Amino acid sequence: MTSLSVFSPRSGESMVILDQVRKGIFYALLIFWAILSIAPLYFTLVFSLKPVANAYTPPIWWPFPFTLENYQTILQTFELFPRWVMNSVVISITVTIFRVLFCAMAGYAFARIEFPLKNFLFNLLLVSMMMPGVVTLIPSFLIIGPGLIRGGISLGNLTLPTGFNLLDSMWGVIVPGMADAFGVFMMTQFYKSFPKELEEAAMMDGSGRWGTFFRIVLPISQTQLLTLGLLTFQGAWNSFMWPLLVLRTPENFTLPIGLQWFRGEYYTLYSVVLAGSLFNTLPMLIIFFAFQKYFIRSIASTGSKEG
Amino acid sequence: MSKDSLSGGPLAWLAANVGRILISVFVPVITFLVLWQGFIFLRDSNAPQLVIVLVAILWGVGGVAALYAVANWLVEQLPAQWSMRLQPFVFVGPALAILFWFLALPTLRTLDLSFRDATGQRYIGIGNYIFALTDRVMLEAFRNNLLWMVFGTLFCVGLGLLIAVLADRSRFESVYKAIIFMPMAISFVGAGVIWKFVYTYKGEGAGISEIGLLNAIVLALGGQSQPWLQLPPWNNFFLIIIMVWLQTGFAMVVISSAIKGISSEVLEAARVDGANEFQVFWHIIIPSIRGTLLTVTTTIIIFSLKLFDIVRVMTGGNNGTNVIANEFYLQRFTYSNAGRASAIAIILLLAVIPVMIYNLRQFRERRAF
Repeated sequence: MTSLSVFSPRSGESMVILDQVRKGIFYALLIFWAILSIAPLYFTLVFSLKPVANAYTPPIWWPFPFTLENYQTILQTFELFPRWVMNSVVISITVTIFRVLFCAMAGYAFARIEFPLKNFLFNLLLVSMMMPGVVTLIPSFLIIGPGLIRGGISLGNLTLPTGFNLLDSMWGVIVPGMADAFGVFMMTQFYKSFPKELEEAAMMDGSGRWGTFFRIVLPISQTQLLTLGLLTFQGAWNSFMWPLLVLRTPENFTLPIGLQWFRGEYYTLYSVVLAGSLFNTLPMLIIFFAFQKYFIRSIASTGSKEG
Repeated sequence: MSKDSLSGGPLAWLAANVGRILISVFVPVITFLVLWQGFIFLRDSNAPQLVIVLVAILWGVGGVAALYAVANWLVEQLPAQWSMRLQPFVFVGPALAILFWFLALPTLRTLDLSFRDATGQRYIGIGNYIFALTDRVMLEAFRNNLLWMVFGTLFCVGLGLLIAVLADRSRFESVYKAIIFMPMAISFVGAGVIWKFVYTYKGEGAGISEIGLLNAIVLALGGQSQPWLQLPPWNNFFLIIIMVWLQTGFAMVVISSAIKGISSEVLEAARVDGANEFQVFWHIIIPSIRGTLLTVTTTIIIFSLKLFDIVRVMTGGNNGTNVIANEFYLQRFTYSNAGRASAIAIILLLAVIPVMIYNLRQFRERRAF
């Protein structure tokens, strides 16, 4: 559909001009929003490439004079920075591995196997997908930390703790992220549209459900697993509120929490702050552009997203 | 095959299966204990961080795989009938256990806390709810959430629809889409830093120049610089723009894929019959993608009701920009009032429920399950 006037029966000089004008307006709008999408990021990048001496001058169009001074400042004077990057990488990767596995298994079961309470459980899953995070925030915090019942449950001289006691540890961030309703939902939708024949053949050959799942189903659903993995990685990499609550000492911070803290320290030196924020944003943008079609496909196919 | 094991009556069955039952109780317990010990060791050890991290990942992944293999082996040891019944739970178990532990249980606990005092010790009736529904601070937060819901959703869906339709007819469609979708990849903190830079205001004085992007533009056009985030009620709209910036791409992608699903014959037939582009848009495109539009709208409404990060990072809720979720955060972590915070959380849940029910109906109609 390259031209709008192809199917228009009333053709004439004036119609052609009108179509040209309309087309012009369409393109102007598109280009305007595209610029708006990219401009704040572009100027952030340019500002972060400014010499520190110019940190208090207005934003500029081109990174000229060009310097990497701000990035050096961060890496050299702020020894915790590499550590935050490391923490973020480790947490995001671990969460991603677990979540992809668990969500694929649960999604497969919801799509293929009949079991009691299945519909009820699936409804519950959909509800929890839309639940506002703050509703569960305090108790989740207690469960990860000191426990729902302080001091635990006593059975004779045996005390059962009701919490995981994982505050200020990276496991406190990882454990609650290991499964999520959106992921299960996405994988269920996927396995429903997935041909049964291959699995049935494998089952005939005598491999059980378990073997079939790992030998046949998982390898075939690679693309979908990659999509879920990318979304999960993005969510974990960007996650803010939960790590903010769980992590206490600066050594254990993830990059977004560290950035928020760092911003307090260097608040006035804008060029350094912006350079710091790009440490968080740029890796994600690179991954995003490299795997763009997977992101777009997953969102288009479920009509939904996390968060 | 399963009938054989049950044929001799319950006692015979028990006798035949005692070994299996014992194994199925002890093996998981032992596996679990071993894993738990490993975990305790990892938590308390003094080895270098990197080593711990690597061991921890190996332990975690390997441990879970071991637990699984054990669980599945066990289920297969059971009589066939039981094995059939239990196997699905090996698959859905972990995901559901985590969701139960971190969603269902906490919701009930929040409900309970909302009837208690600040420290969660005594029951105080509905006092927290009276606060949450009548206090001036809360009323302001409700008003702001309403602004977010109405304007945020309207702009996201409206712009998303417009851009999806336009991009569908343009050349370089994928380029526009990629650029407009891009802000979705950015974290709220990252977006917060970027947009603080856009809205920064330095004030007037000798030797001070505006470093904020928006003020630089306004000054270049001959206007006056403004403290954008301190101008109630307009500052709410400046914050809403950030959400529109982040979410329009989402709306666009979903709507765009729905538009591609409309059969091209219908569109061409309408055009041959003399319908102009606006008629095609209103009478064919919109009705065909109504379901998708509603899903996108409800998703964004829920998002705007839950909204927290943007406000927290940009203004902290000051200058009349407070929202419900941020007031929850303040009550819980600044004023340490668990009771009030929980009541606010429950009210937020109640506000989301109608939209949630509607969404569930939609899923059912689309035969999502």
